[in-house]
Amino acid sequence: MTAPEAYRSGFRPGKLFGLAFFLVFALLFLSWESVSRGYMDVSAREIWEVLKAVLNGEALTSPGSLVVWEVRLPRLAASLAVGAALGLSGAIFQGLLLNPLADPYTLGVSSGAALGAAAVISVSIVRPIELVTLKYFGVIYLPAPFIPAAGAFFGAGLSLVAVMALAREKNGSLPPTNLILAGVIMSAILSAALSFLKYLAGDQVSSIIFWLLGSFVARTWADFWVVIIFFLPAFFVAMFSALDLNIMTLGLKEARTLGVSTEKVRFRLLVAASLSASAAVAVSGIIGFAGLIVPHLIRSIIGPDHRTLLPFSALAGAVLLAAADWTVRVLLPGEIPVGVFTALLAGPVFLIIFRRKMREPGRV
Amino acid sequence: MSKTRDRNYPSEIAPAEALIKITGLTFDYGPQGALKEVSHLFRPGRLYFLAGPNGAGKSTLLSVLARLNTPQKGQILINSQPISGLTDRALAGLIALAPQKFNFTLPFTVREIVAMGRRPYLGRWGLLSAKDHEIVENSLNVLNLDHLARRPVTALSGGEAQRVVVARTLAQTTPAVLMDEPTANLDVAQSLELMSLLKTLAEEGRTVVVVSHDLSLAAVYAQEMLFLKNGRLVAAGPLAETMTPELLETVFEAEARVGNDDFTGGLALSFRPRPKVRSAPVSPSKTAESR
Repeated sequence: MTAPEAYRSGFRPGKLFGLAFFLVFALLFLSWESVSRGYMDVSAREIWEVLKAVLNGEALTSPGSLVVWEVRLPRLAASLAVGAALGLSGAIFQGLLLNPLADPYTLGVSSGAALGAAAVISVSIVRPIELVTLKYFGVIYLPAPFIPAAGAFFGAGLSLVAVMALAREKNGSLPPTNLILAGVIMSAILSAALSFLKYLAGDQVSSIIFWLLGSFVARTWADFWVVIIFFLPAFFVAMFSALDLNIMTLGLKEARTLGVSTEKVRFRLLVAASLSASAAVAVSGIIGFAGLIVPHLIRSIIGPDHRTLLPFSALAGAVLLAAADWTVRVLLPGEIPVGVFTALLAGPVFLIIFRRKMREPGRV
Repeated sequence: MSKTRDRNYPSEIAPAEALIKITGLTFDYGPQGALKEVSHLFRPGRLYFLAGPNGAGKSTLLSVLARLNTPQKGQILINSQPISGLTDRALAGLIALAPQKFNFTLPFTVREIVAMGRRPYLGRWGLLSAKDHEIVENSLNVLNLDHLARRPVTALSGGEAQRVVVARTLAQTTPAVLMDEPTANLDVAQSLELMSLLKTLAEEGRTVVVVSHDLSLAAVYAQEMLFLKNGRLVAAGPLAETMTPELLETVFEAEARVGNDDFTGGLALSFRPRPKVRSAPVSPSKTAESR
């Protein structure tokens, strides 16, 4: 109990600064690497020219500039945004449910999102025309990636409501263990439904499967904007409630005696975390474990205060996914889906956390 | 719950005193002890002890006072204002509750946990003013927690954690303080120290209500006693008037003796089991025969 690690919490600017420095450095390095390297290498000068041309509104003509602006930059941006969304969502769920195994996947939120998005995608396979009219419905132009995102958020919301209804005790309380169990049950049901969808899709099943594997291949600027539009409001809502989230880790009743309107804050945070997770799922398919591992790592370095934990989890999630995507695209021969790569890598880490939790009950 | 925008509710607005009037409180729900038609007036500057057997409704009464449970019937007025009309923040600036059960799951430091007591007076980001810092350090100091201030709460003993909860309640600087079994994890010296602290709080003009199983502490420190049994308020009043052998016997179903104690300056209590009413014993041999 009195091991040196027992003294590691508390506000320490040195650690925060060090971690921020490391993450920003990693972010810059990965950005440079991701944009410049690949099938054709692009020089720094060329990248600069492209950025200048885009800012001046000039048309891009050279193949190099098109690769940078239309392929690599949007892919990098999408991976950063998805990583930030998953990191934030995982940190909120873990704080709210006081369970180290809570994340959008264990709660069934991601499965719901996946089913919702897959349903929309299979509809578009069967009847492409309807979806195109939906795209230009009214005066608002709705870029294609928003449609699966809407499906994903709808699915995530429904599944979260179902999980909470399943987990709720007679007196209205929501014990974390109930939530996790209900989430697991829900995930099982939803994956069965997803399999059914795949079966229905027939010959076109590959488009669903590739999307589900989790990948950033051929992502556009619209994909990036989908995630950002969901992520930013979620981030601000979460930051505004970060102090209350700290206090709610004492238990909802204690938080209420300290003046926190717990029901309101919890609802707000659940919606924020679900929005964030479903946007990520809609754009990149299923990239497991990022939302689980990142908040853990960050908490063990800078402590449990959500006022710093939330932004750092988002930043670290962004760096982690950019690094994973860079690894599968640039370092590894023959591109494997990034979701497969992170799952292979993070699975063992998940096991270690589980073992540690078993040995130290009560510690997150 | 928010009736008005109270983000910057300053501690100065909180009244210095809390006169709590409860009338006809009835609460009957779930596994907790029930309350039946409980009425009482809690005055500022008094130290109240709530006593009674297990399941009598003592903790329930505290939780209803802190608005954690809503009674089916009855009313709670603080300074003649119903608590149902207050915002969560305003109420937290009036009543602080140190719970009986607490569970620290994340390794916040002791100082961070005590600083959470300032929540009713803080803005969005929870930044502490110089005055807040002073109150937090003072609360740590009063409960001898200075040397533990940087320790994570997940690494504390039961008694240390209990004192952290009490310190957080103090840091809330409310005119009414409710404590549920505050001495449950404390040793004799620590219990006595806490009791004199509660006495000081009452002398400062606060309304202090303590739930305790430790009647010997109540017999020395209580100014007013409330006896609950099966959810009903059996008796209430100044210590000397209510702490009588007859009443103790009806409430606790044990024979009691009460005497003045020069050593503590309070009352001395002693209990022994009530003689059992003889009922015809069923001998094992007989049951065997009947088969």
